[in-house]
Amino acid sequence: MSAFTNLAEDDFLDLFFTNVAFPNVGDAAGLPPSVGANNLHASLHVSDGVSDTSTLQTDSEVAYTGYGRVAVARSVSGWTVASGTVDNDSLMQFGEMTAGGPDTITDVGLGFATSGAGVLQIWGQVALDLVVNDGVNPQFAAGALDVSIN
Amino acid sequence: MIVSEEARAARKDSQLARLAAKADEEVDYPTFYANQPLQQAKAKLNDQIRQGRVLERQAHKDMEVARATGINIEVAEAAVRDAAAAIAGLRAIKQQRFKRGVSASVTGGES
Repeated sequence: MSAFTNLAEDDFLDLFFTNVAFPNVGDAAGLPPSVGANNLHASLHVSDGVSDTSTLQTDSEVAYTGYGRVAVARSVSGWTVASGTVDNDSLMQFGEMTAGGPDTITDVGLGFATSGAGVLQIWGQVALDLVVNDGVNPQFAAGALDVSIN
Repeated sequence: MIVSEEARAARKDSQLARLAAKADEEVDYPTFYANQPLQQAKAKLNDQIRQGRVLERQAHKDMEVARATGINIEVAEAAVRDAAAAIAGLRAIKQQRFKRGVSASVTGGES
């Protein structure tokens, strides 16, 4: 089995989550940051409806009244990359459910579209399913959403 | 899930120091990275696993000889089991300390 080195993992996560160049790829300067850093947008999904074959962020995405994706700046102020893992720096709170539920959240997604299909870039199962009823805002506490390369 | 304030602050400090080294043309970034304490800890563990696999391969060779000669078969089998257990233990430590994948804990909050 082979894999990216720890150094390459951190460098990739730097580029993807914080828009910091990935050096030493091709040449010393490597892969440059995007001209527009944009935000990462977190989404919630139900019914175990996303997997590594998913491509659209709307796949099994919740649609309760009050829901919207949560934007996190693609920058060092939004994410911490260390030791091959990236996690969110601040509370990520979704809109309050006012109708349309209950929903059972099974997965989280990350992409770059504020809404609509976009492209699902990252997905993961939540540690424990969350049943959302009216009056509840699903949320990830600071540091509660971790992503690493495997 | 990394929710301890201290742990998160330490990770942020580590990130900022690493990014400063990456941006500093005077710093050999790969060498800086390799010398980070956690990287050294991982490297040490990987070395232990590699050494364990060398011992395991040797134990299998010894067992083949033992079976061929009929001498010390039980001792050789025990050595194979011990070597496999040692590697399994080290891999479990590696998995526990350096987990991979996505970890997400969603909770219900109030506005």
